[in-house]
Amino acid sequence: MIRAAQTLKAMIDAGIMMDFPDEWNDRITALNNGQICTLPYPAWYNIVMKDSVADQSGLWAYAPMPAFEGTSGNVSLGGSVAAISASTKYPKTAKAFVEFSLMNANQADILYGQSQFEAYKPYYDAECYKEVDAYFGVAIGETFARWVDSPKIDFGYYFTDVADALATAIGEIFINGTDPAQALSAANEAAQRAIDSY
Amino acid sequence: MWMGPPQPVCGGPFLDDRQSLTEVFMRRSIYHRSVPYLFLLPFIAFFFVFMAYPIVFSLMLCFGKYKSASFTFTGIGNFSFVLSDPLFFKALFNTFLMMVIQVPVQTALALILASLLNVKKLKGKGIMRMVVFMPVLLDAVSYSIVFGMFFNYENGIVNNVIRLLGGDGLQWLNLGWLAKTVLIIAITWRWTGYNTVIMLSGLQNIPEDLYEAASIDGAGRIRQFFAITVPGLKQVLIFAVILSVNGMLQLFTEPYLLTGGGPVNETLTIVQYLYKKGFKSFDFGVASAGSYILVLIIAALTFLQIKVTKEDKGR
Repeated sequence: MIRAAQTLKAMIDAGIMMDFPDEWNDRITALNNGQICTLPYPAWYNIVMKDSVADQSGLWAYAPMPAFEGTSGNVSLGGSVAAISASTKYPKTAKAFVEFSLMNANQADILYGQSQFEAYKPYYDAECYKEVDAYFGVAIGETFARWVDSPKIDFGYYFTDVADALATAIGEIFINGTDPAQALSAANEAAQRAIDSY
Repeated sequence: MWMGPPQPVCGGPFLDDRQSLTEVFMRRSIYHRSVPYLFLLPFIAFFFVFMAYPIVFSLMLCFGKYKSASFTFTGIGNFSFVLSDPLFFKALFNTFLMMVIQVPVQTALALILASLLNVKKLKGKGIMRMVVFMPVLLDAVSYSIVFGMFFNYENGIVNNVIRLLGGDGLQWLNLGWLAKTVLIIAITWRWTGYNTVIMLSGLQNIPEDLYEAASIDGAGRIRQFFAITVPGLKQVLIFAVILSVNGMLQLFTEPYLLTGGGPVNETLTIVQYLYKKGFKSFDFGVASAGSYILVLIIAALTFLQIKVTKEDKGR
């Protein structure tokens, strides 16, 4: 994490990174103004680009994420999760329902219509995933199906507390110029305090 | 001369001279007597469900942990967590700093505007008062978003004007003190009109003769302002300041929408901190404890403000 933070900081200092205080809207504005040449963002963003930056059709391509040697740059960002309450009286039924509704091709058909990239792996062999997209010139489904070997991350019970502490650390590193090791260990302490209080 | 208790005028066959309304009331049937309570019932039900119950329940939550609809008692652990959390003290510091700057600026501005609007020969008074008051009528969410757009670094109108005048755009939402400034500007823009209208009505209660007497004695306008207007408005000023202080201590919407807690928690306010703890981390015990600490702070400050201003009157 420290190496990644240092690399990103170097990119910021070199002036090649763009800052988005209002993340979503600023990104779309920047795209429309032609200020972005590389956008590290997930598969489902293609529908937003087709909506908001329609006139740039044919100018964009997909590339694999950069990574340090020996690691793969692929990660999972976004998407939705189904959660079953711990106090439910029918955990098996709930689980069966999730499997019934989400682990089949029908729901993938619906999601494909919304340009969502599927988490249900057997669907990657479907015909629609091989269709070549007009905007990007490649079959989006096929392209991303190659890059789904992201490391399994266990977010744990205390995801929001840790994410909160990390967001503060990132702000400290990039805006206040704090040493990454120091900022990250402070974040570690803060998250630990929150977790201990549960 | 004492004429006896006031007699209702309705008269008719239900009253005679020596009966009071209470006696008449008690003589009516149970049905008739219950009518007032029935009229009050909707509000009482609403009050208990949405106000009394949450207040009591959250007091209970302060002393335990609430997870998966089950409650475990943990004593004052939540309070000690909040009172030893550096983030809470950062939020406290931010809130107080913004309050200490914003409230005097806003009150002074409102006072000046109210005095100007009170000028006798002013043309178009109605329209000006409406224009001054209109920001108050806007809903908090829209104006926060629009202010966020104004102060955008790349494309915001404020930076565009600065660049037009030859300067460099400022990183409004990326630097701590600039982000606080943006918030103070936004809130002042919104609430000055409200305070102006309150002070305007206070100003109209100050008798004209005082000003005439003062100008006869040779006092200039500024002297009149400080010698007549400000003391005459004392109660109204106290009221406006207490309201503003309370409003600033409970600030949430503007920082949440404009800065999201600011660059590195620089514009994190107390209520935002509580929101994070309660609805992001789902730790309702800590959030309730924090909100009761906030209640105590507000109560202490309000008491202090009233006490300090009462002491003056005792002289």
